[in-house]
Amino acid sequence: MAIGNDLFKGTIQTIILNLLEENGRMYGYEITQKVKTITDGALLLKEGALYPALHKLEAEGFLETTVEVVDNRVRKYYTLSKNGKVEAVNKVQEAQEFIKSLQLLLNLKPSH
Amino acid sequence: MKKLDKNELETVTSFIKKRGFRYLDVQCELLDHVACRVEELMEENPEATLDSAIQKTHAEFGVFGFSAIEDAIKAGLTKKYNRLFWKTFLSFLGPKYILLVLFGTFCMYRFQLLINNYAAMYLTLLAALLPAVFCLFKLHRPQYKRYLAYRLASGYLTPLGSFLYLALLVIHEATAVDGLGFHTSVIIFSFLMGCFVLYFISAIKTANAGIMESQELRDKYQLS
Repeated sequence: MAIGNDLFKGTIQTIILNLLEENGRMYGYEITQKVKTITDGALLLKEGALYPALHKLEAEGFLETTVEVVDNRVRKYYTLSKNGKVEAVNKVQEAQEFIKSLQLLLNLKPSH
Repeated sequence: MKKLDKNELETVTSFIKKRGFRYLDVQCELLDHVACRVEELMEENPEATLDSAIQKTHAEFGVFGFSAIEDAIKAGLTKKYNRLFWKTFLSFLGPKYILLVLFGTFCMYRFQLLINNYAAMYLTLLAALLPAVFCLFKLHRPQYKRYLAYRLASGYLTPLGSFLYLALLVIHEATAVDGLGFHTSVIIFSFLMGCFVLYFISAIKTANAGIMESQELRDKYQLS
C-alpha cells in the first residue's frame, strides 16, 4: 500500500541524510530510486519534494556537491559535510523518538 | 541498461529548453534527472520511443512540470549566497576585525576634520568609487550570464550604488543652509563609507563564489 506524502513530508530531510550516511555519495534520481526500492514502492519520493530538500540541506551547509560527467551528461553528486554527519545522527534519533511516541499514541506494539 | 546517446541527450536538452529553462546549471541538473527516468522507461518498454518517454517523464512531474526543480535550485542558491554574504559581512564586526573597522572609520573621520572642508568628503567618495568601478569591471563575466549561480551571486553588487548615493545626500545636506552641521555630517558620512567598504568586500566574495561555481560546471562540461 502506498503511503500518503503528508505522512513522510516532515522526514524527507532525515531520509536523505540517512541515505547519504549509508551510501556515501548519491545523485538526485538515485535517491528517489533507493527510497522506492527499500520501501518496496510504498514510499515514492517525488522530484517536487526531493530537490527543495536537497538544495535546502546544501544551502544550510549539511551537504557538499561535486559534479562529474557521466554518460555524456553532467551529474551532481551529494555527500554529507562534517556538519551534515552530525545532523544525520541527530535527525535519525529525533525521528526514532517520534516513532516511539507515535506508537504509544496509537497504542501499537513496537515491532522487533 | 539503456543509455541515451549524444543525439538523444540533445533531444532531451532541446525539450527542456523549449519549456523556458534558460540557465545552463538548471538545464544540467534537469537533464540528468530526466535522462535517467527516460532511460528507465525505455528499458522497461523497449518499444517506447524517445519522444513518448520524454513526454511521460514530463507528465510525472505534475502540473508545474520541471519548475519545481528550478524553483528548488533558485531557493537553494539564494539561501547559500545569502548565508555566505552575511557570514562575511558579520565577520568584520566580530572580535577579529572590529578594532580594525573602528580604527579605519575613525581615521576617515579624522582625515575629513583635518582638512576641514567638504572637498575631503568628495575626495573620499572618489577614492571609494574608483576601486569599486574597477572591481565591478573585473567581476563582469558575460560568459557566465546564462548561469543562475553567477546571476544570483553577482546580484549582491547591485546595491553598492545606494551607499554612494546616500553619501552624496549627506554631503548635500551638510552644505545646505538648514542641513546637518559639518561634524554630524562627517560622522554619518564616515559611517556610511565604512559600511560601503564592508559591503563591497562581502559582495565581491559572494560574486566570486558564484563565478567559481559556474566556472567549475563550464569546465567540466565545456558549456558555452
